[in-house]
Amino acid sequence: MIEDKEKFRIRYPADTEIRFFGTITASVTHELNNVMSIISQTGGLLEDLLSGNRLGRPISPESLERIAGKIRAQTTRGTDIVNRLNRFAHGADEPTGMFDLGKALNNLGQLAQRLATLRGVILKFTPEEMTLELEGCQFRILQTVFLVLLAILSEAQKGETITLSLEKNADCARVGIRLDTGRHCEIPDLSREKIIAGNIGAGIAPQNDTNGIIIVIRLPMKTPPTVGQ
Amino acid sequence: MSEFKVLLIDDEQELVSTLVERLQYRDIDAAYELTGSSAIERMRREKFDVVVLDLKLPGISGSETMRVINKEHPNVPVLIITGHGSSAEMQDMPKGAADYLAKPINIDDLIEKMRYAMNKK
Repeated sequence: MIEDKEKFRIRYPADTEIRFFGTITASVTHELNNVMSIISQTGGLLEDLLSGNRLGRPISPESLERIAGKIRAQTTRGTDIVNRLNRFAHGADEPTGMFDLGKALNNLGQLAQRLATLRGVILKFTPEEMTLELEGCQFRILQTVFLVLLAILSEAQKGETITLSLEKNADCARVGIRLDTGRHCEIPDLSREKIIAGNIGAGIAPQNDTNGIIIVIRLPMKTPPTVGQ
Repeated sequence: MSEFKVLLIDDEQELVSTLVERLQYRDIDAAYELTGSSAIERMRREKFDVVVLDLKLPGISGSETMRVINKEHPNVPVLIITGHGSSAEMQDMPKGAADYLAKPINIDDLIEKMRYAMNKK
């Protein structure tokens, strides 16, 4: 299991922003490839039915309806994936600015969903929709959250749940990443993540108990543009 | 009478169910499972001639699934489905696979590779 944890975190290293972008993009394109594969096979199935029809095998309207529904559903899924990736990519447009952290986190969580699913872990958000405007570098803030999420994901076992939460305090936004295990968990080494968080004026506070781990990322409502530049 | 019986293992239900339908349309006996553990269990109850396995599976990984299948059913060839067939993916490929296929899968290539793998075993 330790080897597995190390392999997982080495695969998603924290050393550069480019790797963060690459990790997200690789995961999303895998999912998109699945969508394209389903559309391709569904088109192939339609060709099969048509070639059978030429040999006298009837095609039922229900079959055609089902195939059309499959293509429509996968097209919608693919469009959602592309839109999420597009929103994420545009987060790097400006070095700093006002943005909705609630929406950005929700989008990041959706993009990270497959990584969680592949480990058999359930990823939840609470509240599901929240608006919280803050000023800072969206890309670096999301990178910090993502790396902490990966660190906690490396501790999670199949069937366990990670909850991503957001709340506003008087002077900061608090992003909570909680792993519910019902067992004692060691806090992962967060030294790399703390350095990256420090660059945006954020702090990371981990805690563990007999039910799991919670890591709180405290983000200032306004990050000075000079920090970490 | 089917020429052979294949088990497809992939967590994308729409994908494997459509592949199964296309194989059945060609009179090939095909079934699918969505996880490695359910596939391992099914193979303990039911005989298959060939397995087609996606490495990216939730829970028990594709590599671990293949290791168990190879151990418990040494005469059943396992074909691996890769996402893109990239060099990084190929480096992660476990040993013991009969062949590899990149998505999107061409149905005729799949059938040809399954036949070849079974004849080789």
